Amino acid sequence: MSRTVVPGIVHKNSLSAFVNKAGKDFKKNWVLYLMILPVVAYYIIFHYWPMYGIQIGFKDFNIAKGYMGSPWVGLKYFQQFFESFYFGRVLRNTLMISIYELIFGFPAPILFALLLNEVKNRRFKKYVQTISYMPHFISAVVICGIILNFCVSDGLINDVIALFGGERSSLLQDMKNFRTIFIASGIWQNLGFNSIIYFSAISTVDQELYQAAIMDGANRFRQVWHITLPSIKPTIVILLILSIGSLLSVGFEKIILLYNPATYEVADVISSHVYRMGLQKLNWSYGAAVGLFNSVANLILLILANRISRKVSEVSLW
Amino acid sequence: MKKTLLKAACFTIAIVTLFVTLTACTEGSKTGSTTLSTASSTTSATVTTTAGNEPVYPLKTDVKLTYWSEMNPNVSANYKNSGDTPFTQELAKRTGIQVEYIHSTTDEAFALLMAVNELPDIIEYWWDAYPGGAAKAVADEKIIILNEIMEEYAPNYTKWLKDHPEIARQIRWDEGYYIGFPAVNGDGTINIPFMGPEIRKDLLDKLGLAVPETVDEWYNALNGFKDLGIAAPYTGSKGYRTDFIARAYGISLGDMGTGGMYVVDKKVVYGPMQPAYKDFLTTWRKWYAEGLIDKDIATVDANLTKAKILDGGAASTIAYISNLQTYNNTAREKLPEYKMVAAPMPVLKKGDVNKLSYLSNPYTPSDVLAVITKSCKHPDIAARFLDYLWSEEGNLLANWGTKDKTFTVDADGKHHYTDFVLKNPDGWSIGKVKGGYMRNYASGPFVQDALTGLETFQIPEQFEAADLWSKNASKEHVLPPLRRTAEEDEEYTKIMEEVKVYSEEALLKFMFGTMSLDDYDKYIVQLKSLKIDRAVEIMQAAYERYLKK
Repeated sequence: MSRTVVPGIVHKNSLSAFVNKAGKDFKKNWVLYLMILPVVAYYIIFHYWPMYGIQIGFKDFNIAKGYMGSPWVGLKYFQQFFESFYFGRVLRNTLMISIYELIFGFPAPILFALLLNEVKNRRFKKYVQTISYMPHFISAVVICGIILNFCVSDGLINDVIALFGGERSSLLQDMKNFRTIFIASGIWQNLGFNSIIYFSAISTVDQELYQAAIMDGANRFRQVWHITLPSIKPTIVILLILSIGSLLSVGFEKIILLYNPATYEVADVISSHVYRMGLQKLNWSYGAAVGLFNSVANLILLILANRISRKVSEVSLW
Repeated sequence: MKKTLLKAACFTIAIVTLFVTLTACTEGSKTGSTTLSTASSTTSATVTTTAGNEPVYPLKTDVKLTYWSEMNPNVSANYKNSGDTPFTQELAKRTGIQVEYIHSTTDEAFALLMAVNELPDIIEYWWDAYPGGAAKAVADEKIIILNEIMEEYAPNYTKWLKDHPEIARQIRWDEGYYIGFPAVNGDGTINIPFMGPEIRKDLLDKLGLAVPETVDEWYNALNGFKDLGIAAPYTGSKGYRTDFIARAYGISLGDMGTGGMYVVDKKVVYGPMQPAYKDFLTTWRKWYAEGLIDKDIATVDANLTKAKILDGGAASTIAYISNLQTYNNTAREKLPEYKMVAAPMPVLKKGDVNKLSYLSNPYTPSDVLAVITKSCKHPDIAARFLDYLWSEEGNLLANWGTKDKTFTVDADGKHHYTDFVLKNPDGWSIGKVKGGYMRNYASGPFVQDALTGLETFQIPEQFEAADLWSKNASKEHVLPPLRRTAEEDEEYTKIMEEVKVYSEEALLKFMFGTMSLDDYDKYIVQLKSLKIDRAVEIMQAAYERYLKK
């Protein structure tokens, strides 16, 4: 089928056609463009423009000499990181903690949203939801102080263990407990906040579907399984892909606050390792190199996850 | 009508958001750039340079200096800028030099400052933060060396260096430079260890035991505490855990920031690798297994430890002399017979002397340093200003403050703080009074008088502690301040970072029993594979350079 020719407009090539279309769209929706301008500007100024600083990962950065003056050293700091005695350990710990967080921490908000959605009492629902958001806003330092207090031999958690006839122990000094404590406290802190998006997704489900299901004799569980879950599947998949894209980024604040030499074996992650190395002599080049490695690895994982998702389900980020 | 109103509203909101974002950007960059518009004015200055007959101070000059430093919490609690304090105002009056104080606002402030071309006249900071140290800053033409101007314009400092050749040798850079005015803590004549073992005397009395002196006596005492029902006979927050018993075995650990390196017979050694370390570990592990040491010792922080010490959950620890005051005064409110006293550094056999005292050097290269920058147009005036604190009156002002207001002189010529300092009528802590009237609230470019520490003692336990710990106190094994070259430093830092992690982990594993002492040899092999020998080599080289200086 040949291109429809509209009298008066000549389509020379696709670029001019694009510019034409863009121009028309701009004229019609210029308010929208203006609204998004600050956001785009923010990303360009604070996220894209600073990327040129990545080069210090390949340089021996000296603040006095600045970006341009510092000498190139190529892959020296990358090498230093990969050859570090603890490289294997921190990489493994980072991945393990992230994967456990994915397995346990990812479904938790979904479950929470689904369960709370079934509650009929609206006021109860609102209260529980609001209270569940609160821990998210408490700083990591306070949370870790509380955890420390609870986990000592005469702390709250040990009191409960003793009540059930167990033996008291210093929980945070045992390697076996670290991941559990770290991830469980993370779930507690972020459960409510992360469930917000699922709540909003659930609220968009067409009520008629439920009516039809009830007429077909579906009980509550069946309704959730066959209607609610499939409807929020796109949301779940997108968030899952995004989580996979940050697999190598375990934040160091909480780790540093909770670990000690007795648990380094499982608790020391890439970010805490770099924090210690970088603290000496402000080794920014080293930090930048490792950061770049992290970002590239995460990007690869993200692309992979996206591609697989596109093949398996029809949902994908792009 | 409604539609256009809505459109107009959207338009306005969009524009406003845009401007807010952009101003936020410029705002950020403005606070980043230092407010250096007030550089030293260049009006002609008349300076009396002869220190012989005419008094040098106050200088008759119109020059105004800019002084960049970090604001200390003891000062910022009550003053907005250092220039507002009675101390700096008195200093300006006495020297005749007006100074504008600029304070850093963020952690990166120093780094940002270094990137600027026009620097303030004087910068007081921890110059270790500059990559390559102060010597590199000289090579990069950011700051100046004092060698040429110090005889004439910093006579007090020069004289002090001549009177203290040993410390002068440590201060002087290998290249022969004198860079800036350093912080010196005491002049080495008074050696009171700053911390040591502390134990509950009242509980010892109940058990009928004397204050323990040997490792075995400590074992008995801790067992006694355990029988009294104390959950953690010995405790210590994350930094100060195990060192004092190790020192009885002649080993200094990585605690206290020494990195575990010290000197034995002119050779640098690494504590956690010495043969006696295994003996120490055997003892320490036994004590932990028997419940004599806080079960949570690896996780408790300073607050938890303090709470335990105060409420009787713990009966001994390592702490500072000043802590004795806090512990005793606070705990006695609930338990009048509470008595925390200092115990001597433990030894293996009765009569031995523990030579590994908790002493530090008067001068540490990583301490704060006030330098004159290359941008300073009147380095002579800047030198005179900084030199004042090295004169007798200046030193008095910095350490003791103003006569009759903050200190008095008794019949023997000794100085004492007044009640204005010790029991301030407005309720200010000693630190905050110092923040306003003196300079020794923190290290600074002057010599701290060690006697001021004794002045803050309030209870007899503190005086006894000072006496006890200074008896036989020895600096024989303390490493003098050493400077490594840039390449050495990089290699050393890399090695020690990994060694530190490994040895800390191993210590705890041996202590808890997770790693058996039969594997001790494997531990040594692993340490060596982490290149600890190379690190010791580097320190040895730096040490030998120092001896030859």
